[in-house]
Amino acid sequence: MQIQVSCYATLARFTPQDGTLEVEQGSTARDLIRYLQVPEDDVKIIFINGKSSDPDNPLNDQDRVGIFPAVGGG
Amino acid sequence: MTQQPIRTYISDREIFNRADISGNPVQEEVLLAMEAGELPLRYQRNSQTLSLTDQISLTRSAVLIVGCGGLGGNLCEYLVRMGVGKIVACDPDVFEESNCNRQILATSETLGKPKALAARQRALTINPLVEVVAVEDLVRVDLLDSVQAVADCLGGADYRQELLEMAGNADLPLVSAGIAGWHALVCTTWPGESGIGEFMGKSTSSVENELGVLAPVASFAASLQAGELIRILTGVDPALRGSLLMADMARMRFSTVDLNTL
Repeated sequence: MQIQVSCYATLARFTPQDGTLEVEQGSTARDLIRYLQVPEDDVKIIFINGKSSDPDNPLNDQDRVGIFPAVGGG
Repeated sequence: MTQQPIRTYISDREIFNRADISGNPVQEEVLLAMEAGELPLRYQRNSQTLSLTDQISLTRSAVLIVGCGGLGGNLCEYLVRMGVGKIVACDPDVFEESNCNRQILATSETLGKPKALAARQRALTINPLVEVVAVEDLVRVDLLDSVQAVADCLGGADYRQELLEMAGNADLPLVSAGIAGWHALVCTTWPGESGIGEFMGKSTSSVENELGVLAPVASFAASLQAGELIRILTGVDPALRGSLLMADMARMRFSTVDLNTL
């Protein structure tokens, strides 16, 4: 199945080339993060289709996944 | 609530004269005037968008601003100009040269001076009808006693979760922002609901250390915080309650995600 992935801020460089990734049925956001080699400790917010989500929930075809680090400056 | 009509406008000077004669605090004379339909001239251009009743609500309100740096300095400026009656400005730090790139209160005159005090002094020059209390210390629970909302303008992620808990325990809404590079996050947390603080644990390495912090991003995020606070104080639902606005000003992309789904 195909997943749309955006990584933000310092993680932007982990966004796949055309913003999409082909993954196996039953894959989770955590699988995706590991596949893209995003440092897991740096990931603070994961949202799927505009809602913050558990990284271990299975994804569905054409889901939009956003991966965000902590942005805490002021 | 019935909307009161504006009968006339009143100058700061007239309000000060009345306070001199009555012996009342200036803030009380401002309220008495507005309740009688007299709007201070300085709020005239608010009045096409905010009703007199809204302006009275702002005058009666108090907000705690935690952190008077890039976010808090701008936020304080906006709330003072809007006419929020009392602002408690809390920050234990003094200004350093590295603050000057983005912190509106950091000037050649304020270097080495307490940030909270600079917030108060700036407010005095902008709007003498409101009160700014400077607290040159870390935030304490008792500071939440007399306010209707809390603004999380902390620099760094370390104390955000603690502040979220403090506001929740005090049953107060918390309006948070965080910035790094061209990125900003803004979120309003209602007591007992999800909020941005949960995503910033104590041991987090927050990315502003890597990306730095920029003036236009600080003022942008503070503007959004001000908008949320004005809505809360005038009894309107804040637009970012339980959701997180993420802005990427390098690409001018803005998205809002729902946080209350975990």
